[in-house]
Amino acid sequence: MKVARGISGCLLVAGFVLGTYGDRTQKTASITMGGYRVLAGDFHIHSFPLSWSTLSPWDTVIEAQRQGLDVIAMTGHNHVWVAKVGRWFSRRVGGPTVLVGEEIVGPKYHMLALGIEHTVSWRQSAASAIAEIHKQGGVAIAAHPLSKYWPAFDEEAMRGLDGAEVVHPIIYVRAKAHRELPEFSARKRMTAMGDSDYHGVGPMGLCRTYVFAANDSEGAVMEALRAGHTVVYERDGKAYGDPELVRLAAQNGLFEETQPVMPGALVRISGGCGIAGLMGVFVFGLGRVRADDSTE
Amino acid sequence: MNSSMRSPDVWVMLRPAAAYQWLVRQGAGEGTWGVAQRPLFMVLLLGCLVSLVTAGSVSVRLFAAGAINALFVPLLEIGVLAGLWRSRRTASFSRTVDLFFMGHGPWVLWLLLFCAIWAFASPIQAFVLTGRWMWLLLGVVLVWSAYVDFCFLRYVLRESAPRACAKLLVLRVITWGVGLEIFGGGSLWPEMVRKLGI
Repeated sequence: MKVARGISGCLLVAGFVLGTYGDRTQKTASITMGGYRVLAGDFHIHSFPLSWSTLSPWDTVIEAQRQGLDVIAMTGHNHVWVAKVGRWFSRRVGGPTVLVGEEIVGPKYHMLALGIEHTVSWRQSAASAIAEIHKQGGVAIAAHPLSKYWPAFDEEAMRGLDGAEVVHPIIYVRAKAHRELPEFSARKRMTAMGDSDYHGVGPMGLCRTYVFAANDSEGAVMEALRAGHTVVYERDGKAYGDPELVRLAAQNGLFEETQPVMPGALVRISGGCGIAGLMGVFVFGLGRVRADDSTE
Repeated sequence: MNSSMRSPDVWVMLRPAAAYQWLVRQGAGEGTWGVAQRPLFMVLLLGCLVSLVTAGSVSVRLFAAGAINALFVPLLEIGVLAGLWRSRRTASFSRTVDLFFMGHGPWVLWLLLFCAIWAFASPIQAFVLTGRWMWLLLGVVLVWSAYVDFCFLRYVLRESAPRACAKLLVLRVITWGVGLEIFGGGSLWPEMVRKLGI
């Protein structure tokens, strides 16, 4: 039994050594096109606590950096304080640009408020929330606008809405969502967004928004979002966004240039060793008892 | 007579009533390490979980990030257990904690499966798999772990069946209530409003 315990421990240690060695930041060169700085962004990221996520705000910033993201929005469920911690930390360590945001999770709609400073209440209509976001200088983005949320986006709300998520992990999981998100975005010309709705599982930046901005400052990013200067790709390369920028990006091979790097063998071996080690510790490492049949 | 050596955690998971009745008579496994090892294993598991589902590997950075945030889980469980134990001191508190954490086997299996999916499947495949099958399995684990904890209350704290049910409810409401509030409190109320159609 000592052998099994030893092997389990060794597997776990091997997993940690390989995983820590492979834990490197992706080196990405800055991209410039047509006089714009092209920034890789993910504007729908949740952190621990309160938002069903696992990484604290500082770890979120480090992970965004590791994934090669230039700009992120931290969007706590109905609060902004965690995002403010993240922005403070990122400024300290020279991390990616962090927009303070909120995912307004109401009973009838979900909406991203980007570039705000104070919490926007979920106890109001979508139109009223949008007005409040604009009052704070932010932009209002419909988060994963599935058809069940459409009734909340009445005429007044649609007039004020700045953008909508058209690419989101849910479109790869549900065929219905794959139809509904682009259909909602086609209601009017608005900023196309691709976000991963990161809750601590899977890679951050799985779905990205490419922002065509003057530079990577918060102000420039917000200006670009207001102007609709974004391009978003589905995984097969189908593009959404400003038609001129989509053409510019195609000419310069933006989609090909920004394909995600798949995890290498080191990552897989580390994961395998880690899981096998944990299983081994659970079965062999927490003690043994001598149990007789007479007891059962 | 079969006197084979076995893992108490696996035994409790598979035959909780028999295992707890036998284990509570033994009184072994005390001492600092004996008491701390299972709560610490939970922290190890949760830290590794965060690393595996985030990056597919176990790195010190992500493990530490997850383990620190998950520390409240075993502490909360121990806190609530202390309240239940005060009125039924059938074994020392350290032994009671150890026996309680032996009953986490169904969760360990479910979490390891969750880790394996995120570590080996592509992100899209993982979203599909965890979006469908893992929720079904979660239902099984909820019932299974409730039965294991019921047996713990019945045979370790020696409660009558109705009182064991009541205390199981208290245990679940407090630990899950506080846990859910910390983990996802920002959207709990509006989601409840939506589900109840208020």
